[in-house]
Amino acid sequence: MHLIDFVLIGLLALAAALAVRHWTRRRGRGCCGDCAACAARCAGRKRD
Amino acid sequence: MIFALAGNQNCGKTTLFNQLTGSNQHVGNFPGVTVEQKEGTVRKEKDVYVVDLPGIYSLSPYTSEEIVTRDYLLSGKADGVINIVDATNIERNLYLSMQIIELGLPMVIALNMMDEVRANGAAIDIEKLSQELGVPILPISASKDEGVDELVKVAVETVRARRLPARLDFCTGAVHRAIHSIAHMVEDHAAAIGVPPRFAATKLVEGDEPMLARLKLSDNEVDMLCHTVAEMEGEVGTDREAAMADMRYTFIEKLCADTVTKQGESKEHLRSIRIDAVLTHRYFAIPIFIAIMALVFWLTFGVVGAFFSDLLDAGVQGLTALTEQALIDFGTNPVLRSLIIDGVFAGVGSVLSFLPIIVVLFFFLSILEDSGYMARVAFVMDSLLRKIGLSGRSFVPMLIGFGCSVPAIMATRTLSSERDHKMTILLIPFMSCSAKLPIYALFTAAFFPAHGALVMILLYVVGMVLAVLAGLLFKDTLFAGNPVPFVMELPNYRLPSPKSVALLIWDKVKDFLTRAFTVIFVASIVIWVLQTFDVRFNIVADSADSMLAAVGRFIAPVFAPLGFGDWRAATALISGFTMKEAVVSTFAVLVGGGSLNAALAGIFTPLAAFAFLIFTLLYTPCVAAIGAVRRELDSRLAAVGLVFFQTGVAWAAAFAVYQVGRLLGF
Repeated sequence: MHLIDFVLIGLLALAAALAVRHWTRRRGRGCCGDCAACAARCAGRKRD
Repeated sequence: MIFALAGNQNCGKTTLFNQLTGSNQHVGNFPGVTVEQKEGTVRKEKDVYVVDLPGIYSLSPYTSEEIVTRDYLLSGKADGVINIVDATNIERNLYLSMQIIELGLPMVIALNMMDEVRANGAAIDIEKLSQELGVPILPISASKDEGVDELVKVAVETVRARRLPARLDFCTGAVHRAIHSIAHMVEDHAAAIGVPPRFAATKLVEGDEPMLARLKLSDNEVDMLCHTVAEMEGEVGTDREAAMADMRYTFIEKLCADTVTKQGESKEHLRSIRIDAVLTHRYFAIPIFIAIMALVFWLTFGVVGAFFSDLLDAGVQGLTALTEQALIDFGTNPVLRSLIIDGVFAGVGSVLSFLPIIVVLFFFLSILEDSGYMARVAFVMDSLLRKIGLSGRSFVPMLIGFGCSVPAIMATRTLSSERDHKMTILLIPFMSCSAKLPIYALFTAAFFPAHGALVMILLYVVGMVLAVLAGLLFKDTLFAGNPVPFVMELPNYRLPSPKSVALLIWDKVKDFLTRAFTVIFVASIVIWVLQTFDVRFNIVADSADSMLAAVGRFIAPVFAPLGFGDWRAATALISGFTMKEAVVSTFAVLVGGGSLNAALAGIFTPLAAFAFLIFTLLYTPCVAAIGAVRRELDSRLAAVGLVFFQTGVAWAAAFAVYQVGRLLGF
C-alpha cells in the first residue's frame, strides 16, 4: 500500500461518513430527499 | 396581540402570511390532528403575532380543517381576525366572512388580488361594502406586497380599540325569526361555554351536532329547538341547511350587485371555458388524457430522454476509463482500484446516466401541471374514482405518487374524510414512483429496445389497473362507505411559467445528484465489500463465493417461480428496499466491469425480465415511504401490513406474468 492508497481510503471514508450523516439527519424528519416533489405539491397552492 | 388569518383555500392567505412574517415563522401541527399550524411574528410589529389557519369554506364541522379553525377562533386565543377574501371570487369568499362576523371578534377583511380585479376591468365599492358588512375592509395584493402595511395598521387599531363588527344580523323572514328565537333560548348556555349566542343559534339551525352537544341543552329546550326549525323549514319550503345557505347567498348577491362592477368575464376565463369544452368532454376527456400521457412517454423514453441518456452514459464510461487508467498509472492497490472503479464508479455511474430521462419526464409533467390541465384531469377522474370508492380529490395525491410516495402520502391530509385518507394512502404505492424509472429504463434498453415507450406505458397501466382492483377490494371490506362530495376550483389555463418549470427541474436535478452521491455511493461500497469478500474476509475470485452470494442464494428460491431465481436479482431487490435506484447500482456492482446490458442478458430471459419489472413496479415501497405511512396512519402494524401486502401482490402478479408467458410460448 502506498501513500496514495491511504489518501484515497481516507477520502472514501470521509465521503461515506458525510453521506450517512446527511441522510440520518434528513430521514429523522420523514424526508425522502426529493425536494422537487414537495415543492411541486406546494406549487399547486401557491395562491394560498 | 395575536391575529388569526382565516379564509378560503387559494385566497392568498399563505402569501399574506409570508409577507407579514418573512422568515420569522414556525411550522408545527394543531394538537391532536395532522393539520399544519403556522405562526409567526409580524415583521414591523414585534408584539403582534399571526396564526395561519387552514383554508376552509365554512365554519361547519365536516373536515378536520374546519373544526380546527372554528375551535381556534372560539378558544379566545386570537385577539382579532384578519379574514382574507379573494376579490376575484368575492361571492364565494363572503360566505365564510359572514360566519366569522357572527363570532363577534374584532375583525378586518383583507380584500386580496385587487391587482387582478383592476386588470379585469372590474371595480369594487369598498366603502359601501364595509358599511354593509360592518367591518373595516382593506384592499391589498399580497403577492405584490401592496396595502399590507395599511392592513396591519388598521388591524392593530381595531383590536386596541376593541372594535367589534357593527352588524351581526344579515337575515330576514322566517330564518331571522328562527335564529333570534333560538339565540334567546340558548343565551345562558352559550355564555357558559364562551360562544356568542348568535353564532351558536345559527349553528343549531344548520343542524351542527357538536355545537348541540357542547351547549348541553335540556330535553325541553331540544324539543323547542326542533319545533322552531321545523316551523322555519315549513315556511321557507326547504331543509334547514339549504335555508341558511340561501339566506346568506341572498344577502351576498344583493351586496355584490350594489358594490361590485364587473367588466364581464376575463379573456383567460373565456378561453379556458372553450378549451374545457374539449378537454373535459364527457366521452373524449379520458382518451385525450391517455393520448397526452402516451406522447409524453414516447418523447421521454423514445426520443429526447433516451438521446441525452445515451450521451451521458458515454460520458460516464469515458470518465471511468480515464480514472481507471490514472489509478493504474499512480500504482494504486488493485483491491482499492476495484472498489473505486467496480464499486463506486459502476454503482453511481449506472444511476447517473438515467438523470436525463427523469428530467425530461418531469419537464413535461410540470408543463401539464403549471398549465392547469392536471386540475381538469382530477375533475375528469372523479367519476372513475367513485367506482372504487374514492373521489377526484384522491387523484392529486396519487398523481404526486408518480413522482415520490412520501409527499403523496403527506398530501392525503387534504382529504376531509378519514376513510378516503386511509384508503388513498394504501393505494399510492401502486403508482409507480420516479425512483423506479432507472430500473425500467435499464431493462427496456437491455431487453425491449424497440418497444421502450410501449413497455413503460404498460407498466404504468398495470400499476393503475391493480390499484383499481385493490380499491374495489378495499371498498367492500376494510373501507366500506361512500366517498365525500368533491368540490374543486378549476384555475384558468395559462402558459407555464418558464421560471417555475426551470426551478422545478433544477430542484429535481439537485435532489437526484444528492441521492446518487450519498445513498447510492454508500450502497455501492457496501455491495462491493459484500460481494468481494467471503465470510472469513478473504478476497474471492468469483463473486458467487462471496458473503452477498450466500445471503442472496438463501433468498433466491423465492423468486425462482417468477423466472429470476438468480442470487444477484434477489440481492438487487433487497437493496431496493432502501431506495429503488439502488437496484440498478447493485446490478452494476455485481456484474463488475463490462456491459451491464450484456450481463443482464445472462441473468434474465426477456420474459423473466418483464416479470422482474412487474415485481419492482409493485413490491414494497422504500423505507422513507413506509415511514411516512406509519406516521400518517399512526400505526406500525399498518405499515408492516402494507409491506407484506405489496410484496405479496408483486409476487403473485410476477408469477402470473411469467407462468402465463411460458404457457403461451414466450
